Amino acid sequence: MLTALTPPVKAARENGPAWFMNVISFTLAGMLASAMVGALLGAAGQLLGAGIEQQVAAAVCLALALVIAAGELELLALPIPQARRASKGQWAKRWGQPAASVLWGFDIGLYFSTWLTYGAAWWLAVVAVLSGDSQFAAALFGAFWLGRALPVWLGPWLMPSPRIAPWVGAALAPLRPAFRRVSAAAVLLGGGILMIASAI
Amino acid sequence: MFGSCPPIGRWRWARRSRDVARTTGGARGRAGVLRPNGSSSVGPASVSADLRLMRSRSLVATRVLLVGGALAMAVLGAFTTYHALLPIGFVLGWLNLVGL
Repeated sequence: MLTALTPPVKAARENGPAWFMNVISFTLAGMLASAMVGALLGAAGQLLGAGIEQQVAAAVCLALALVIAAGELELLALPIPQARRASKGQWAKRWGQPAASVLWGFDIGLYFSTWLTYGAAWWLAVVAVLSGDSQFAAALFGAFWLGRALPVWLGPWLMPSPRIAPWVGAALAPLRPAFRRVSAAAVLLGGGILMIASAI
Repeated sequence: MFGSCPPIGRWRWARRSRDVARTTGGARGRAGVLRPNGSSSVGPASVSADLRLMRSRSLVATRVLLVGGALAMAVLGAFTTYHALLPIGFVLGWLNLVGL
């Protein structure tokens, strides 16, 4: 994400229209990839879990939310299966900024291809599968992507200067425990919503 | 004896710094430059100030998103309960800011 965040910040200061086009490309490419992955998961759920009752699916989601929240709150040592890679910064040098923006967006938008950071990402994937609804799953992943792309849109405001880029990750690290708590609360809330929805 | 300590100490500190960066996916730590609180020991002071500013802005944006997300959940949940999950997905996506 950092590699995708920094060049647009520089570009925004040097060339506003180019920045806008790059960020639009990044967002649209990522949205396409995310919606595609979400739709595939929803379709897989439709094929695999057609026999699963709604209440059982909701109970699984709530149980998983509890486990993931325990992991985020460090009550449980929970490894997060993930591709331990970030998008390639060199793509900008190799193919130029506009093409790299599309590639970064698509790569990060593929969801499982880069760092997931929080266990909650897996909860979202399980919800997409258990929903058994491609459209809903695509929308869910699309919403996740929009949240993920927002820092790039806000980059020029968030990063007062592009030269701080090498230290951004470490500077944000102290926020991580708070973000993990928010993540835990979000999955618990989501699990609760699903239980309520299945009971109605 | 003690003459050999500072480089070792610096190396260890540098490795820790890299680890902090690596934990967040940045992998950009540099020896003697950053501390987890965002201040820097070398380089212009404005770097530290900019990092603090970025962190406080990230927090402000997160708080705004949480409030906005709660409102969006209430609005979308009025249509269908499942759609109330969309703002949760959005917020979870935003939280990857720290993951980078």
